[in-house]
Amino acid sequence: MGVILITPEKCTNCRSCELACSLVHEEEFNPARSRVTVLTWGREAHSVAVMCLQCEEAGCMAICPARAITEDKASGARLVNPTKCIKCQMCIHICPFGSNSYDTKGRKILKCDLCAGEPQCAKVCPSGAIVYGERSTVNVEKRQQAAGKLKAIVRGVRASCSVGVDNYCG
Amino acid sequence: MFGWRGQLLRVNLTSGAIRKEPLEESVVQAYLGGRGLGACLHAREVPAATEPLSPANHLIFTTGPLTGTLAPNGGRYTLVAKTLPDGALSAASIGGNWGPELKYAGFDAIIFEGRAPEPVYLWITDGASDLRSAAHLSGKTVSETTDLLRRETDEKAKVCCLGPAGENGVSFSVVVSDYSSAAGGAGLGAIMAAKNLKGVAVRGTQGFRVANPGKFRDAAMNIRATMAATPLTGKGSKLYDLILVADRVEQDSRPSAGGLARPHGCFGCTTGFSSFVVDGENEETLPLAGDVRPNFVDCRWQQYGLFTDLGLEFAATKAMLAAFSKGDEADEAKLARKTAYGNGPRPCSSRQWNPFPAQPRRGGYPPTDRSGCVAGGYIVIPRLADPDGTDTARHRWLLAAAADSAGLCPFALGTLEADVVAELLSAATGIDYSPGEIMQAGERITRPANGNRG
Repeated sequence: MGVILITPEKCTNCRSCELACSLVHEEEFNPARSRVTVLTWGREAHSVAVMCLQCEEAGCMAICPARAITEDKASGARLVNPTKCIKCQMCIHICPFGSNSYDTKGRKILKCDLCAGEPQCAKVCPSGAIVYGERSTVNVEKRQQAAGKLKAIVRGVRASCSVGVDNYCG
Repeated sequence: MFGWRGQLLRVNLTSGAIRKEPLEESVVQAYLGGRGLGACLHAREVPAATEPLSPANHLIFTTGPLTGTLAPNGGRYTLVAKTLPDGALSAASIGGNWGPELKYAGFDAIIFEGRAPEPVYLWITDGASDLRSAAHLSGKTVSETTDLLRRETDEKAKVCCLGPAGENGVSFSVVVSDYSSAAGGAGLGAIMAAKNLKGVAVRGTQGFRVANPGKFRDAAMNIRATMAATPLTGKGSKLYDLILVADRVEQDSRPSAGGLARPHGCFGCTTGFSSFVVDGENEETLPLAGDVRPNFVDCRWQQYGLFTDLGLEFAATKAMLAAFSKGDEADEAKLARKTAYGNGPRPCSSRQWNPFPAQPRRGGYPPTDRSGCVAGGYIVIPRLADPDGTDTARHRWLLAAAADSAGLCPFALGTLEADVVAELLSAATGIDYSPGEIMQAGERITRPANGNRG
């Protein structure tokens, strides 16, 4: 069972994820009908991909009055059953990330289904801003980066101690 | 019709009349879109002797069948018009997000005719369009105009517009989309300003289909994987020093004050870099960055941002400053501002051709092909990628013309070959293109009669 990891500082605003998503699910190129959305601050040249993170304690699942959202054990995705869904859109209101949306053209809830365990957004992302991987290993790179920074700081502190110019470390 | 939306918008600025017209299938099949389609339409409708700044000149915005698709680097659109000084037909390709948004709104192209009696902007949303007064936008910079237009129309709208440089008739003024992507090299800002057109805001939620979605996805994913794996854009490649400015800035531990902190590219950009290029000791020089060393990346970014915000073309402005500014960066910024507001050195007037051309390119590339982001220097890239010269410059030139017209960014051409373009186009349009036909389209598009003086 995998998990989506989003690294906003790697996002280049290419929006390939939106295209792959709308092509796979709706057979058209249309970011407005994508389950992943890239939010952009053009002036500052910053962007962040926003999508369903398949919460363990999923509010959408808990609040759905029709019990239309269930967990897919194989992929870990919370799936909307379109035949059960009554389109009350409570799952949209409750999502803390604003990830879900309503598709006025197809008259349905747009929510990430992890493409049955092979999310196309992660596959197409050229910069690694969206990655899909095993829960235990997907964030190893981030962990190593953070550890590397700590190491550099600690080394710096030690170095300044050994020089002992101003006895900074006491 | 697949790939294309099959519809263009004809806007008569003199009368304010806006009309939707079907796209001619035989024309787009032969000329694909982009500069090919734009030049074909222009040559057909506008007499050869038309003055560039007269209302009779048309300004045409075109996309390609691959614009807005999953095809790698497929976010391009093109501006076509007769330009100064001699009225030759010119095309400038531009990135950002505006072109795809136009297709999502239902159109492949817009033709602007005539001249508006007062400054206007065009607002397009999902098949509907509206000309609105832009009197309050006069003299506003690109970022100010973009922000205001989005506030007045839709916060999600994509905007291409002029800065003060275009409005004041500077010969090297650009049209800018998404704050920083500029259609440079042909002085199109002044041409657009002569129509009293300040900008075009677009919002589209309609989407469009391709003929064979499964095949298209496979083809696009494959070529994307190849591009990601190719040393052309990877660290340690020959081109690394040359292209990956954004990456370099990211590596730089200094906080970049107002500069770019990481790569931020155009729509569909697979390569993750913006089209801002630095030249080290490499033999080829890309116009935008001819004078820059890596340590100056930050300051260059700020200069690029300032010039583009004013609507000035970067390379030409640098050349102008080299001739007229003796001072430091602050002095350069001051002179650039004066130029943009019409008080610069005398040769900057739009009545003359740009007296400050970017450094000429070496390598035998036709110097007339001036389309492209900030003067089209990207054509040197395939040559650097393939220094043995198994591809002739002409082959690359024709392929670039076809790919450009299809809606692809020629930055992708280091890896893209005619067979890939053919595969993508066939899956998108449902028309069976062979690699040979792609090259024939390139021939057709670059025919002198078809206005590729650039």
